[in-house]
Amino acid sequence: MDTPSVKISRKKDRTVVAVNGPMTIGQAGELRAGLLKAFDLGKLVELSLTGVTEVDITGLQLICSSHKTSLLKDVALSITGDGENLSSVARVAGMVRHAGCAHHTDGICFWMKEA
Amino acid sequence: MNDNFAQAFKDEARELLGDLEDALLEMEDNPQDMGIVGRVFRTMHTIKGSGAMFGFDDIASFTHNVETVYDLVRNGELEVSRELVSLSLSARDRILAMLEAAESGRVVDQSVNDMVIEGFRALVPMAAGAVSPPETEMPGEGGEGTPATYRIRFRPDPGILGCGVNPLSLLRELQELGPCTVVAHTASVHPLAQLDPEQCHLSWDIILTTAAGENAINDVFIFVADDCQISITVIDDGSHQDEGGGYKKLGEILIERGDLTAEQMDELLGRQKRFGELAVEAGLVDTETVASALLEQQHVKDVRQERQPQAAEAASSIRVTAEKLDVLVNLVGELVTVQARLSLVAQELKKHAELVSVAEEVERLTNDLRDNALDIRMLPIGATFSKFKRLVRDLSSELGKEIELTTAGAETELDKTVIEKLNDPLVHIIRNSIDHGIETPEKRLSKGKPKSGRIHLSAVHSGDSVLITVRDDGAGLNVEAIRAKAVERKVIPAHAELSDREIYQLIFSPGFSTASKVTSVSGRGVGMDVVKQAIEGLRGSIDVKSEEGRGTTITLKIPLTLAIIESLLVQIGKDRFVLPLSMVDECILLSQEDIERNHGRDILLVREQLVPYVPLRKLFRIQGGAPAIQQVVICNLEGRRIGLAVDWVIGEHQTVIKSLGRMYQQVEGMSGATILGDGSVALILDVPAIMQAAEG
Repeated sequence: MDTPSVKISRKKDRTVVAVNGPMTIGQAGELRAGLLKAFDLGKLVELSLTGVTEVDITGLQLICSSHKTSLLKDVALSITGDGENLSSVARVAGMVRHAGCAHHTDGICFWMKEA
Repeated sequence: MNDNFAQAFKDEARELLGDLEDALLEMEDNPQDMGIVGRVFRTMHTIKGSGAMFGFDDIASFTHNVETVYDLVRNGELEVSRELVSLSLSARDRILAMLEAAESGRVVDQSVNDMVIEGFRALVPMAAGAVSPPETEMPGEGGEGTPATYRIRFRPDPGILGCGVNPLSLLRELQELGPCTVVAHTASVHPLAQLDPEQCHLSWDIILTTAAGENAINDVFIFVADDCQISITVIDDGSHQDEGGGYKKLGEILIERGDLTAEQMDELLGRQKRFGELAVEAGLVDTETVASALLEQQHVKDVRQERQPQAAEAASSIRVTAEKLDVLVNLVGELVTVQARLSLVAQELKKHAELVSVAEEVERLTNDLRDNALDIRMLPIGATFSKFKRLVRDLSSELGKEIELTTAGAETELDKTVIEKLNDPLVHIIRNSIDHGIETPEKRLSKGKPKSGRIHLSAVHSGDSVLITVRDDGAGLNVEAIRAKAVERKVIPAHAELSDREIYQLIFSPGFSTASKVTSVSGRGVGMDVVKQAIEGLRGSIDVKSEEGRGTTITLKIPLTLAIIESLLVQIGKDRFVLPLSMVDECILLSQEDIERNHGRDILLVREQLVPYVPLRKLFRIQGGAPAIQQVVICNLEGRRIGLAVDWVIGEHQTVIKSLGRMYQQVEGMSGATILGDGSVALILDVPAIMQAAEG
């Protein structure tokens, strides 16, 4: 693979974590590490999913985990570029909901916007 | 067992067997249509299921064997063939026989049942073992039963992903089984620092409504059962149809799921807040657990709500025995008679305006009630038509002919009694068409006709009657053959001059048949005269049209109902008679001068046309002299006009038809009687018989 599947770019006001290709168990470790690094920088983390071609359970878990990390570290998280692919997997997996999880204190549950 | 339930099963089974016959015949025409195969399978399944439920074990066991074969057909392991259809039709007949035997307490001939099952076995040699006694089946298990709603709690082992299991695939499989609400629990998904990204931290609550049964759900988890915690609970078995689409309260669901104890719930309920919020605030459950329970509540409510219209539809029609309807119609008949009497009294006591007004109101209500009561007994003729498909199929194959039966106007409604009495005459007519009318395929081809013959059965409303037509594209009636036969049988004199139409009517003479050989189908010389008698018994008429080589059309004109008719009330001396208004064209005055002008011949000149009439006073030998001016009621029967001379025409009358009773059934010229408003009896004139007697 020529291009890395997870790319971190530092912007002035945020850190962008862009995923290219699959967001599945094969990339889960790499993505987790990238996201952790981004949160450590303390700026808004933008998880860009524009280049995602495939999502599995681990991908969905990482989105949840990122949100929980964001709340824990008090670092804002924004998820962009999520397409129909992610939405349909989220629907099958029962992630889509009307109310956020127990950690949902900021009023921004990623899955709620799908509801 | 409750007799009412058993009776309900028998009624339902009869209907299902009727549908089954239709479906099987349709399947024969469209062997590739899996929709029809599914229909046959489902019908068998329902008969089997309800049979077992109501203690008709022989029916359940027999049907199970047939159903098993259809399962093979459904799965593409066995093709639809003519033989399969024939066997299935025989199986259908056996189920009916078992049903009837159960009613009459007779014992069915088991060897015939075994023969049918053997036939099925021979058809599926490879799968002979499949045709076996039924297994005990729990409701909601296997097959396509009533949809039930299940709560599935799926907690996979975290390491499951490493074994190559994809929980998403399992969830997709479940969603394919039916309407599904899936809630993922994310509580175990930790922040990134503590997260093992390659393990599964999600768990699921799934609410699934499916008719596939619990086994189908277990099958989804078959390869992961050891690595997961799975619990499957039926939360709605599909039988709750009377709860207005409602479901358990949130607290009840949480307790049932084991997420909350009853004590905890009681304590929370003491506070004035939404239960879910209270439970979360108290730290007893998290928001996801509440959301999951709420989604379960919504899911089941939706499912039940969807079921509501069906339940309402089922409740919108009720099954009533025919006897009860007959009693109702009889009572309405009595009411019509009493109402006529009330109107008469009110007429006589005109000065009591209030009475007249009440009598008019009663008359209006009685008329509405009469129409409604008669309407209840109206049935579409389609069910009778369907029976003939089987008749045509069986007889045509017996005679080596290819015949297609088409029908039109199956939705045409007729009184139930009329439909019942029409069955036999129609069977005779269709049998005759098949046997004498439609030629063999070879003969048809040699005449340049399509190989397959066609019989078209149609019904259409025409005024207060229904016209039922049986048209075939067979050889048509041979006028010369009929004539020769009639002369031979001394039905007509050798030199009688008859029109084709009159000759066609000869086929209805007793013992008349031109078939050169007697077959089991027809040709015994009985039948067509019976047809005529039956149709006339229904106050109907038969018309025959035929074109040699092109086919025959027999049209039956049948009154819509036999119970109450609009009629004309007439009087001769002190006696009163009624005649069906549908036959009356007009009424003409007949003076003494008219009679003298015609030199005693019973003929009237009406608008330059001669109309014969029958002086009923003379015919019925009524004592006394006729008034100076009589009235002639001119009747029209199939285009022929004939008058009936009476003393007075009283007017229109609602006639509730009563039979004459066994002793007077053979009295010529009368078809029944009715009771008039003053309690006296008026006889109903049998106009066709009087006309025939006058002509003959």
